[in-house]
Amino acid sequence: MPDKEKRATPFGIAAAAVEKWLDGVGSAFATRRKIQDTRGHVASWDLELQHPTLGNQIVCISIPKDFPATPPQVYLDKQLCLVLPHIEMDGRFCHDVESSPIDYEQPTDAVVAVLESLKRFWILSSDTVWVTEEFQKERLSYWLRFCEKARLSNALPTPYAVRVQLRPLEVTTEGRLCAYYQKGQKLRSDLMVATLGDVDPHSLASRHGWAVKTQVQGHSLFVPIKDNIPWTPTDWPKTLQELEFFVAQATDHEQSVIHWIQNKSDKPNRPLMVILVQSMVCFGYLISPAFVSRVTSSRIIPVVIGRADPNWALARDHGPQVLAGRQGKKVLLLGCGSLGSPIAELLARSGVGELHLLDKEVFESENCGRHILGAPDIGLSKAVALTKRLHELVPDITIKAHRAFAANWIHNVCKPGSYDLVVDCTGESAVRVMLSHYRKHSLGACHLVHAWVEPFCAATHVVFLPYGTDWPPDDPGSKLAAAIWPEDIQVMLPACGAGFHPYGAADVWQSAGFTTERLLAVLDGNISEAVVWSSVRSQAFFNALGVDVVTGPIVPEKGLKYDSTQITRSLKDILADG
Amino acid sequence: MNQQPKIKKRSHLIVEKMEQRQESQQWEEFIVAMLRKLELPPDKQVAAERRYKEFGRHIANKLDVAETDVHVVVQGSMRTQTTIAGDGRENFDLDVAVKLSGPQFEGLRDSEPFFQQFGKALEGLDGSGKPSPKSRCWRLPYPGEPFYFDVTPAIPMSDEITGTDLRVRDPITTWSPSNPEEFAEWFCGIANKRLRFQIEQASKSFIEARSTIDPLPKGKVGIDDILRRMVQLMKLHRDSYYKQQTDERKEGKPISVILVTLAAKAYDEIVTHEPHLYSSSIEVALEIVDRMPKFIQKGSQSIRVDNPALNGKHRENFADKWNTDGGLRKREFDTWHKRLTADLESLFSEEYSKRSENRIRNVFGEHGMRAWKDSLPQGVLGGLLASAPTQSKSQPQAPRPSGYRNSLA
Repeated sequence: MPDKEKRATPFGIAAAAVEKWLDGVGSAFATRRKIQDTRGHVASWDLELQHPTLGNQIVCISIPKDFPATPPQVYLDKQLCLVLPHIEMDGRFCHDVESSPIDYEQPTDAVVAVLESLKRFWILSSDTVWVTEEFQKERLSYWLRFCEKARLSNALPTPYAVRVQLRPLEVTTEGRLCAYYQKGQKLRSDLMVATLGDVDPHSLASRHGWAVKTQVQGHSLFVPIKDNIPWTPTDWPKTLQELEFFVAQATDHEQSVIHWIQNKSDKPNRPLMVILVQSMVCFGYLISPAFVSRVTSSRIIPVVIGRADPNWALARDHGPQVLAGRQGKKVLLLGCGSLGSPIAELLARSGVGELHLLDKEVFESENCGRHILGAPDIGLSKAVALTKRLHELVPDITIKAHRAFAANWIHNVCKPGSYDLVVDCTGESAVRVMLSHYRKHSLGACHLVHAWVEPFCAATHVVFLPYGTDWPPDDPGSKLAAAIWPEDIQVMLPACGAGFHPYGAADVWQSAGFTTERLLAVLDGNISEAVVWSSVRSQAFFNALGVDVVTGPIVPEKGLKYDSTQITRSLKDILADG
Repeated sequence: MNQQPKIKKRSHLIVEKMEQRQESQQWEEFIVAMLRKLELPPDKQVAAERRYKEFGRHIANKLDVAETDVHVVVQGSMRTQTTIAGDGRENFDLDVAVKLSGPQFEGLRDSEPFFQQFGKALEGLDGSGKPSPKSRCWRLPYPGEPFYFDVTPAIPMSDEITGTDLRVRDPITTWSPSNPEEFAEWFCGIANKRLRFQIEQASKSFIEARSTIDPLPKGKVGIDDILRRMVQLMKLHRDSYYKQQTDERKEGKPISVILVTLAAKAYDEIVTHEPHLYSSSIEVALEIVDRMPKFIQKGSQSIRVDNPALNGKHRENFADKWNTDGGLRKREFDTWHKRLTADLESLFSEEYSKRSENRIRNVFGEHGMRAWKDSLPQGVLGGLLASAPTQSKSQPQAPRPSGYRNSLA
């Protein structure tokens, strides 16, 4: 690329400003690297810095090709990875400086910010206490690098991935292990799955589609270690003897790793893994069998462990306590259509323990535009296909499909006390009325929610009926409606009962989010009164529909087409209003 | 072995707690690093050496004696390797003795003309300032250098022509005996002794060094030279302590040679009789301090701290003045010693990470505390940062603007 052209781009101009400094007045302190480095930087300079404990160090500051979108990078001796914190395996210093909007205007500021960060690090890193604390603080990151180093250096068969279904544990607990190998590959496993107790790792792997080719069953040993036990580069066991010692210390000499290995060695070539668990963070050691039994000793391979249990996989929204509450909940969802299916997925991902889906219909191609399911599911039962999908997608959930009509199933199958919450997403008056009559008979002590949308998704209503409050059997839905709609707004098809209301996934998924948010509040025990939640579009939206609709008082007069309002009303008040 | 103490010593308890916190190594590293900062930097040591090596020829010329009759020997802290920056003065006090022999200096009765003649002879050294007289020596400044010399002229004891014992001018007693080399030899002989745990550590680290495949970057050292480092630490503490006291009290400040003698005797006792009892340098250090007072000989008539290297005929009591000052020096020694013990204990009882400016100042002095702060490498990128284009430097305190950070996806 010609120089002129390079300089004319925003990146080029920014790089040039830094070059002007560091090749100019800054060159007294920074020496430009003559040889282009392999990391793909525009330019790099070496700084010679005296470190209080490490002595003279060459530190390299580099301008990335996409600077200033990416801040300047600083590289130290890569041998310092795991000696000092915040140093990557390639020596890159994690300076924690993010790009700033002013960097395009004042590119050298970014360099100054990075140098200031390096300066702070230089001071702090001579303090052993700080170094240890930093290592401990981000111990998982450093462990990851340690494992990667081991993988790259010692030619031991580090598995490509290890997944664990962890549960909180108090004492050392045995578990199972399943290792998967590609065809013809006997040494390095593609994936290992470890489970606690008698849980079958293979069924877990099959459920989520992880299982590949040949499987070999083995054993795992989960050792909880106290939170205050340091786990920094100097603490990590590096030999079997050190691991033995570490585990003995951590378990008050109750657990011997070596004995455990010996006990499991009746059948050779079974994979064995020791998993240290510190505040639900796992650090694994794969035991590599002795090459010559009784002559060479077993070796240990540090491995990075990914957790695949709900406490990790489903807890980004809330703490483990809330999640534990949800995991104990059982929910029946009636209707797996355009509103029910996204609600089912949202509930499943929110950590609900058991979900039963009921729908009689078959998934058709015209459903693809506004459903969770898609073309591969055409012709399948909506309830069954959705169950299959969520079973695979969401760890640990118990999910069941009932391909049935709601009325039949509630009358014939459903037993009182089976559910904590029943959600009716059929949108059908007949189902609401049926439930009003069958609530005591079939549902018993459980909460009930009716959710539906008005035509064009102009409003969403969620009626919460706690145990003890019933929906009037005359189905007074119109009392809470946002608008009175004309009869002929369905798009008619040349078939009996095949008309539909026009709205898209983008509309109804908003309704699903609105509804699920409130269902979770119910499940979390935060709501006790019978209320109606409504999300209502503004008058401008209704006006733009071009149909003869009469809006009620809850429709906001102000606002543009895509404005809306969300309100909570007491069911009692609505029903009393006549 | 019946030397096991029945009651755990205080020094042991402090160190035990420190060990529990796993901090003794850090403390040792810190102390050694601190003392290094307060030592004469190596390049300046070379400069000083170059200077005093010029003394011999220069003085021989001036006094018109054979060069072979002039011997320059380092003494004091330079010889015992316990030099340390003083009470905030930038200058290091380096002691040099110039031994003069030959007929000109035999049988001298009066010390004064000899002393004055020597002072004159010191003048005109390259780079030096004007020498000024002290009681036994001439202070020779070197403007621009971080050190000055206290140059003590010495001649052989009149009745011992072949002996190594020397005499030096004393304004009150005319002559005083002096044996800088023997004293230093005595001190170094003790300082070089090692305790059992040090020997074991040394051999262990040797084995480790051989078996470690991937050694971590080294550069930190613990206190191996316990006695010398303790002497430095005591001098620092003494100087910083007395800096804050009244002039009257300053008069009674314990002199270095007494501290050196008592500390060496305490260390000698530990290393000779209880080499197995200790497991850490800091414990030994605290024990040295604890034992020092017991080597002050308290006779019925006088208090003595004898020059341990002057045996027989010429005794020298370093604590001579203690007997004629109404108890000032004895009191000051006791007060200071108590304070040193307390300051060290409070420093070591503290968590290493929380070591505070205050406690560091108490032990290492203002100068030490500043050296510590300066040593925090604030300046490491100073030059490069100062060369940054002006717009970058214009708002050094302004926080770096960030884009909107709450746009999540």
